[in-house]
Amino acid sequence: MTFELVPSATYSSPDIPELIIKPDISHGNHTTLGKTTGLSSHLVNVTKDDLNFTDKDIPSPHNKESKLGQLRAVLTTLQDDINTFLTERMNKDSTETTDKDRDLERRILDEGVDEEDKD
Amino acid sequence: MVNLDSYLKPGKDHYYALGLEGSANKLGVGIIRHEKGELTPNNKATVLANIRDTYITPPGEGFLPRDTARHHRNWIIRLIKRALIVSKLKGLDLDVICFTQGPGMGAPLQSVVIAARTLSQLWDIPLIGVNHCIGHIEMGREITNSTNPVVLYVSGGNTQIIAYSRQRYRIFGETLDIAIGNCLDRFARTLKISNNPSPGYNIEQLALKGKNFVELPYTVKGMDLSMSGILEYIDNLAYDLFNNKKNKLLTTESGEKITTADLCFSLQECLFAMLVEITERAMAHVNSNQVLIVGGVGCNERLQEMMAIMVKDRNGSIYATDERFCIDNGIMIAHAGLLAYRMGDTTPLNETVCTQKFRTDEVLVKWRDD
Repeated sequence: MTFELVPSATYSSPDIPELIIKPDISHGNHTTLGKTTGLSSHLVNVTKDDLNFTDKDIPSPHNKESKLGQLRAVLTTLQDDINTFLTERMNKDSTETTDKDRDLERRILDEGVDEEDKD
Repeated sequence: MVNLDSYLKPGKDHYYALGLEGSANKLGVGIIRHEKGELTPNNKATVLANIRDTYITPPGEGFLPRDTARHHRNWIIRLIKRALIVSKLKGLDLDVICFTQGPGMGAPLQSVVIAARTLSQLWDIPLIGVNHCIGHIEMGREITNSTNPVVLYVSGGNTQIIAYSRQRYRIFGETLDIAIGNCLDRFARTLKISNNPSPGYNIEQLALKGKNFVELPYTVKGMDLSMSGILEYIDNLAYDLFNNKKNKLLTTESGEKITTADLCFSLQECLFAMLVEITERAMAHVNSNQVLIVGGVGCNERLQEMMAIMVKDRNGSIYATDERFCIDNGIMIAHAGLLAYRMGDTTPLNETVCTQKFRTDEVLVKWRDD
């Protein structure tokens, strides 16, 4: 399988000058259903016993015949790779992460507070 | 008089704009057409498509930024495709792509602007970032033909009383803490009533069955108002009601028990009375006899009724729109963005960053000079 458009991401930090993240395109197993782009864990928890709950907001399948459709699928894989990489980095740093940092992350992501208001 | 056609493309006599809205849990896509010339009752904007999909959470749950953003990300392209089909246009027919730049929730705003940026680059069409509140005001004026009203903007995220003066929509009064829609939505969560079609609508329906008024704190502060204390107060009453705790406020003088419907009725009456008071004062300040109600809470028929009583006493007129235009939508973003585009504005790619804070009075209203 060939991909005309292949996305990549560049990450840098004080300990990593430059890291280019590229999705593995040696196989065609790319879809728009990302491993890390599903429902939030909060929503999964509150709906786990609700038999009537269906996730109506899953992404549409990608168009395998068009280059933009293929890009959507590979981009989802790249997004997964980035999320996994960043989560691992955060977990590695977790010994240095204070409760305050974790609370800030939760407030920004789940409560929508402005980063400028973090204090 | 402002010339709205200095930037009209040669050989054309009209404009098309796509509007993308996603500052909260509604995702809206609209396509509007303006004919050349000043907008008047005889030369009105045409709505070619106005499609909305709402992210609805389970009862008792609010919408979290990351799940709301996911909803917008996964629906935006489907909605844009549908809007193009309904309007019988192709992407390349558009003059400008308008998106909500703020205020609103960060993650949902970011999801939608990414779609806007992508289409802008694919089709080589300029972008314009729109202030959400200005979108409500301009669409309300266009739909109702109200020329220079005092605007009451009431929604889940905003509560403002606004009047136009010298090319700015100026804020005369506003909430000091939470928005009125947020107060109603959070009380709906306390009651664990459905969020479908919206918590505010379901509170309104329950309130129709209420007949006993429970006195709540009345917190108008000059031209501003505060609602978080009222919410806390009524949440406590609901807690006592559900847990059968003794509370003399939950029994009427005639010995009748207060119900959840009575609480919904009382909350609406108290909050809306506060809004009517500051609106009336703003009308007196700016010597206007027109009131335009915009924003999702503007659909509430009881609010419209209470406001109409006050406005009638002042021999004025009240203007409100139906749910297609008062609840967040893409067409208002297309309309306000197109007005700015017609005055020569565009937003360069590197300035398309969205912002959670974007006050109504920051926008220079170039398309008006009255």
